[in-house]
Amino acid sequence: MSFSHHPVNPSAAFPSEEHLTADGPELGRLRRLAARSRRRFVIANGAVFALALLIDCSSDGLPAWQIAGTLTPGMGLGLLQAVLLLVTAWRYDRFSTRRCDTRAKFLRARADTARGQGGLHARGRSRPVDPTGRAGMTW
Amino acid sequence: MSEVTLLEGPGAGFLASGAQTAVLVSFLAFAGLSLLLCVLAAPERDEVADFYAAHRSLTPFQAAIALVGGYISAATLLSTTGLVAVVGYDGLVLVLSTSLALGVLLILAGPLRNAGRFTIGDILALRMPGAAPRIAAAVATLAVSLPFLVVQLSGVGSATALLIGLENPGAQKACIVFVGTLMICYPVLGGMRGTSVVQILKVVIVFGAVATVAVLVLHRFHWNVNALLAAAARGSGRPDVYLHSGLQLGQDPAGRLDFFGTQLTVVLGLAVMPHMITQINSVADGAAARRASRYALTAISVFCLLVAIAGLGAAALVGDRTITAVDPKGQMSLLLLAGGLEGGTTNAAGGALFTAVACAVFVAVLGVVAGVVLSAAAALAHDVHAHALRRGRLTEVREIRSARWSGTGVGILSIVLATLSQGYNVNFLSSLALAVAASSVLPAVIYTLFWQRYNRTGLLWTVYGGLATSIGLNVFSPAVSGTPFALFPHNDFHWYPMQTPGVVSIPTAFLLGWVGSVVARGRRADDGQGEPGYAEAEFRILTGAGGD
Repeated sequence: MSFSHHPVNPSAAFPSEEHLTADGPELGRLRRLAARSRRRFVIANGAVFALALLIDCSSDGLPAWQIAGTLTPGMGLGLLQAVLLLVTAWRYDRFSTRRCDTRAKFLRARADTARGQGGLHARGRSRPVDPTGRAGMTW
Repeated sequence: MSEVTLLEGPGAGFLASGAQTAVLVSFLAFAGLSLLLCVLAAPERDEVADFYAAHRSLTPFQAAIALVGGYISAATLLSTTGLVAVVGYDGLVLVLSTSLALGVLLILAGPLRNAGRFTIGDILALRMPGAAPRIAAAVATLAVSLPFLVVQLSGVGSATALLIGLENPGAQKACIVFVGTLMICYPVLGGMRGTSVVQILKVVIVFGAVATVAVLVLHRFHWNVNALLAAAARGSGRPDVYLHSGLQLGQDPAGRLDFFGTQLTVVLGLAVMPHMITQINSVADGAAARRASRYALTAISVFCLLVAIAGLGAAALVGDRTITAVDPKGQMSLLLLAGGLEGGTTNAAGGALFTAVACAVFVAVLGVVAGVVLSAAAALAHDVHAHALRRGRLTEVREIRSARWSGTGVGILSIVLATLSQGYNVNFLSSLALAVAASSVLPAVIYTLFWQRYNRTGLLWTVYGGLATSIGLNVFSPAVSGTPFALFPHNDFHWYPMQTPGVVSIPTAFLLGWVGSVVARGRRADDGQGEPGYAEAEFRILTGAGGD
């Protein structure tokens, strides 16, 4: 009989305090890199979003200009926002893949190894391996 | 530039009887095929990881398509197109905000997947174990899901009247019950796998239909966007103001603030709808979740562009007078455009195009409600039953049985509410759902993931405070009373001047979370080094280690 219970309180599972201390510098680098990439993405898109909304909400008639054909500054900013979003999303993903994912994988592997050595399997905390192999199946 | 041809007649008269049959047959064919695929993809064994998250087996591309499916609702398809057609610039800004919401999901996707397991409750319980945070998460999930389900199902009833010409209330209710029953079947029978299959199938149909309309519109204007914009401005009947802000909610300060609040609510609320978070958990790890979100962002941006072109095309080719005569908010503009774009529904090409778009509308509703029911069922079964009530001592078989019953219960309740709401304007429920998500789910999730001093009290203040503020302000807003388009147009008890509560409720929820955490910390005379367990939780949020 398998229970759906899972140790969601991390302090009850792993990594232990020693592992966190050992991983400290690498974890700190990962934390800083992840925060930096998030911050860049949020600032770039948030600033243009705020600027566009400010212009939309202003009553001085700025959006009523026509800069090219029927294109108004508001619509131009909208286009800029859309392009910026796509470009910054691509850069965010690429940065995270190159700089963060490898570190995260390394730390995860170390934690998994530590868990294996800690004999958690023997204590029955981990979920059983799926004998059908469906867990890894891509459909 | 030639205008579109529309059939004469009252109400639903823009559809020939042959096309009505084609719409019905196409939709029934989709329903049958998707149900078959759903059952075939269903989990073979009763495992919670399989039922809620498809064993994390979706590739980023598959998950992205499913995310897009969860994103495109009837509101996106009909209301957004209608807004662009009727209010021009303000509608275009809403389209943009819809894609910006995926940007919010993009930066949260990795941490959410690393921290989470199946539900929002799992994410909150990572740092705040116990029954109260899980119950709070389930309450927030239901408060978002129920209004969203009701408005989607209610839209099915209205669409039936206009599309198939079944204007009597009984037929509309029968259609709601039929679609609602299908909505229950997908998640109950297929779990996450089945629901994802339906979403993927839906995206193919909806994307294909809207892309065809957009291409035909652009072709009409010889691919000259400037000519399309100019024609849309002329067709709107207000060429001087159509491409400038202020048509939707007015140019006065209250209207502008309301506009700001609406955009903020859309950007922040859409990203954290419970069914989107549930879908994020169907990929292998945080990196895959982030990749899926980026793919979804690109696809949604393209889709929003197509919707904008269709809306402008409707204003240019159908004209504001015809659009608002059928529906004052322009919700039928896409169908009116499709019905007349290829010479009307009486010829083969026009009929086929209309059938495809009409079918896409039903399919859009069906796909999104299936995902929402699954997330609501997971919240009830996993958070409330398995963890809050049984403290985790519930077998997987029983939990899945509980999830199936929960899904059925939520579905039946939604069907009952949707049938009872026929004849009332319940469109505000869509913005209410977004406001609740932005005001209670988003602050709780952001604080949990990124603020080390966040604690249980702060969490409960955030969730319940945000929930109460957003619902309370909505009840006393012009969306519920005091205006011709309100839920109760003949009563007036509104004192909150804006349509959307987000501009007040979102900052309030963040503030409550901060105050609650500070107050609780003061009471415990904490040493100020952060809440216990944050270091371990942060390790998991950053790396995904310790999840499954």
